[in-house]
Amino acid sequence: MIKLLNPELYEEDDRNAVRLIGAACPTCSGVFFPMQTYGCERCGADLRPRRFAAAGTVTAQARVHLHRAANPPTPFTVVALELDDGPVIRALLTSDSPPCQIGDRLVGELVDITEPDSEPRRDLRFTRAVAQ
Amino acid sequence: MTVVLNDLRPVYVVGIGLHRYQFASDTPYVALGLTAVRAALEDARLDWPAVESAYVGRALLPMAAGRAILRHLGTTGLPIAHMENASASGSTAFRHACFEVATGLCDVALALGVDKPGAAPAGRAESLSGIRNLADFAISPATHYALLADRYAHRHGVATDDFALVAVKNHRNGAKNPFAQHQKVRSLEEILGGKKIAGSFTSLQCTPVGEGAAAVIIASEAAVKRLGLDTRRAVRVSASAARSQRVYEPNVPYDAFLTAETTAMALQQARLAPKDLDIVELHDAFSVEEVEYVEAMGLCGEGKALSRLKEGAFDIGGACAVNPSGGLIAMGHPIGPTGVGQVAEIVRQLRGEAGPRQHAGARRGLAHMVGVGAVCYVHILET
Repeated sequence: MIKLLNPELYEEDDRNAVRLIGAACPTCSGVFFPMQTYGCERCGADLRPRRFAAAGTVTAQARVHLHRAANPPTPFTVVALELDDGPVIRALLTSDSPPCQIGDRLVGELVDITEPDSEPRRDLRFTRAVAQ
Repeated sequence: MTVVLNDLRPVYVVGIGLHRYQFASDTPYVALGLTAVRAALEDARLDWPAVESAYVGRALLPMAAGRAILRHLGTTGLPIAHMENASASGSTAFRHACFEVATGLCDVALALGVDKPGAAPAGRAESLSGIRNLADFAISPATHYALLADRYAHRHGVATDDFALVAVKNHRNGAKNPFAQHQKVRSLEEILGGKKIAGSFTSLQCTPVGEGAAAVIIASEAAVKRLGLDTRRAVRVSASAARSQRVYEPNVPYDAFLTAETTAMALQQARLAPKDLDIVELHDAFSVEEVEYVEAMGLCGEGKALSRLKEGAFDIGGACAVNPSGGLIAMGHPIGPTGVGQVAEIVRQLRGEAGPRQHAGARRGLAHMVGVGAVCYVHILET
């Protein structure tokens, strides 16, 4: 089994569904991603972990042509999406995803990635959902 | 009860000086800084020992750069404070220099911005916070603003290529500014045909990386009289406002929201309305920012910036000259100097000394900077 690149950010459940590891504030009811233990950005209270489905709606997208680092190789697409569970996150589109635009539905999937001098890992990417 | 700058004794900018913003060179940062400070002293017709306190804004240089610069003017023992606040470092230095004079702690203060890329490891402290995220490694500032551009275009039904019109105007202004990093008029076709960066942005719609320095000298009314400075060339600072980012509801354009909040505070302090502004120097590191910020400031209605831009409302000679210096896109953005350089441009305009880029009849100007989207600083100056 190939290990996850960022197991503190996402996980795969028994039915292979990807879930994001976010946070909820018991004091102000805010929901956030990712989970962190420093304190709620809105009110300062201690946060509790909450799992979010890796599915949401595109609120912005940008195709990147020039990037200082070698990883990820250009071109690639960054999306902002509002998760069905509330938080707005930014993520990468899979390299084989159809182009997306604002309002499109996206779902998360774990893809194999290989970086130089490191063992293969799986990382979270999003792809445009196919209408059922 | 709290007070604002306008409640304290009046403060004036009495001297301005710059080292041209330029691509990274062999010029030591000490030479950059000294050029700007000496020019500001000469502009004010002031001797260095009269300066009682110094604030140095920098984000890329290592610690204590100010002392290494200022000692070559003659060591007077003045206090030196270094300010790091990302892109707003120079604006922060200016604000605190103004407050030191306004509160009477000193009569004459220097705000210096100086920076040089590559002098120290650069980066955002947030990347070392211990909180990982999904795609931070792939999101540069250009990509962040490309996402905002996509949202703006969708929200208002405009063509993303129209954002390049901001760059056409600002390169035209920069071509008339001897301190600008880019001094060449660019056509819309040249700008749109440039190297693609992210989203709709091409390279000439993005601020260049560079080095430089800017200095302003701030004095009390008493010091202006005591030192025999030219009162006709002294420009009053009538407002200083600063805010930082909060948690906003999903999909609120928070960069613009922060600018709206901070600008409203500054205008209230100065008892002015947006229509009263003749000059605005704002943070246009990427073309879409100018579009979003002029709306957030109230210079036009929401979704109207591009049509007003096409009408010439933000040109030199228009309703309000926005970024007559060339802005960050053409004048450049060496980080530490940028906010101080904005103040220098506004002072030059309000004195009527801006030469070929003079906005006729300019009496009130506003300087605006954001720092990594998380802090916002606004100052208003008036004659």
